[in-house]
Amino acid sequence: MTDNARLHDRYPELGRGNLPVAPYIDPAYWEAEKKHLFKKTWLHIGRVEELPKKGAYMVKDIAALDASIVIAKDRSGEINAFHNVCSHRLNKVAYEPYGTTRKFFCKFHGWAYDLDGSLSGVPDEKSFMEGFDKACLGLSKVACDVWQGFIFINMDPNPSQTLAEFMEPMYGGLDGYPFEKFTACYEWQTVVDCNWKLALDAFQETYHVGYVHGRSIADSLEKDEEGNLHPIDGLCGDVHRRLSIAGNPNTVYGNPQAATSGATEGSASGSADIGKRIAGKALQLGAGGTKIDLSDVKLPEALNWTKHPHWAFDINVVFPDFYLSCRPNYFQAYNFRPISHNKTLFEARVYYPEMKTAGGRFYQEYMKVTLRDVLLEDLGTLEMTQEAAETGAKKEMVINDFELMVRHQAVVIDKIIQDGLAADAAAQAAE
Amino acid sequence: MADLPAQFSDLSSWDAWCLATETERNARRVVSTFEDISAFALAMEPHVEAICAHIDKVQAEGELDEPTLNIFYMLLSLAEVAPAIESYDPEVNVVDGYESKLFSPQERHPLRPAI
Repeated sequence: MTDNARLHDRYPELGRGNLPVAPYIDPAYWEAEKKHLFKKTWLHIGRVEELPKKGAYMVKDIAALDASIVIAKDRSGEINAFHNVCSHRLNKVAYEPYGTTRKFFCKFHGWAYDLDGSLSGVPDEKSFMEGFDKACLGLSKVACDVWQGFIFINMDPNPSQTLAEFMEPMYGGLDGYPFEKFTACYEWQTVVDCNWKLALDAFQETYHVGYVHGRSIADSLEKDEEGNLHPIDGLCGDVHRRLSIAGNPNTVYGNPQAATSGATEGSASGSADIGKRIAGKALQLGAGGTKIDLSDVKLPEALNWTKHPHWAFDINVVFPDFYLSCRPNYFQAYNFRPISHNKTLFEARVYYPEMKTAGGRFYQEYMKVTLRDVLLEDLGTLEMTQEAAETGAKKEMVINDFELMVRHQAVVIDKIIQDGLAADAAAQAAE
Repeated sequence: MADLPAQFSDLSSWDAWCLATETERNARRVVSTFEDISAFALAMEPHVEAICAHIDKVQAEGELDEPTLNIFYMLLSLAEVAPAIESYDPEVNVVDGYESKLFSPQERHPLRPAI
């Protein structure tokens, strides 16, 4: 223990005690999260580049919303979101995860909807009752907006904040980050048997890196004099949070300029380890391989807000379940989508610049499979942790200063849940 | 037997690594022996620069022909085995990791590069 200033000093309102385990294992807590949190906030869905032209759509089944949502680009280029439920007798109107169409047709009785969700065609319309009005029978709209090319939806028909108001206080400074230039996207998916908060927690601290990633990327992050992997800094907002991480510039994975500046792995070519030599080759051959020139991109100052010389990347947790990690030449976008109190759909994406050369593509494949293997290391602990939590042997968990983000998540969510439950109780008492 | 460009005929015994998707490449990695993936990497190592130059040349002239596509896939297989050799020796799988076949690459994602 040292007397050094702690991250926690800045956020006395978050407390310093142990965290209760119940929110990670209690089915009732999950039901409250659905009602008071997920159905009342902005949720990240995907990128605008996934809907390149008019009529392009995607369908997202979101368990936390008890909903299947269609997100479509209409004739005017606007992106709209609506429930995937026909207004007639409730069949779906879109059946594939992605597609392009002129209209949405219900396969039950052939009702047709325009790309903005309005009802445009009803077979044998005259057989419906008097007062039948197509104008009132469009697909049910869901609030939808775009921040920096990321599409968000909000199930609250009257969101308490606009998406801009939701994002700006913490992430306004990311304006200018070249998200739109990174259009080569790789995604993996899995359903993990653990609570969504427990899964996210494993990605919002660096304490685990030396152990879980000891064989792989632990060397890519910068250690302090005592060999500890501490983040450079952390910021807690009302609901969002950020961590800043330093890398080891002598590694392929930890060098933020790799592949854009053509940095080379020190002595890799002379290494006795064929794996290291391949990594070195990937980096060398990747230099200058991108289709677009990234050299004139000026990264926003808020990215490396402490101006640390070895800054490698930020972890930005966009409340509640969206992890966005920005590096100079690519970004990672993960969603931890809860399915139940102990099941989570993990959607992990990485977005790179498109490559024009084979060497660039080889480098990108190396970086991508390295990332995937690191994620497999992270995922490896989650189900066991959940099982252990569910034994009930421990009622609390212990948090160190650099696990502040784990605390921030728990405290922020619990405040929302307790307020929601109190409002429910008050409403019930009034009845 | 997958066709390879003539100048890479030395590599023809490794043609089982001519696999078009990450799903297939990873599936092959995790059922291979560590000796096998290391031998594959050693066989590929001296050719990597020439393979990249060949693909870039064919690409500049137009469509990739089948032998060139095959050697491209083999190059991506080299990237697939590299982290295993670097980090998990003597295992081919991620040590203490989640099962990779449960963590499925979304091969049909609209923004995924064609190759």
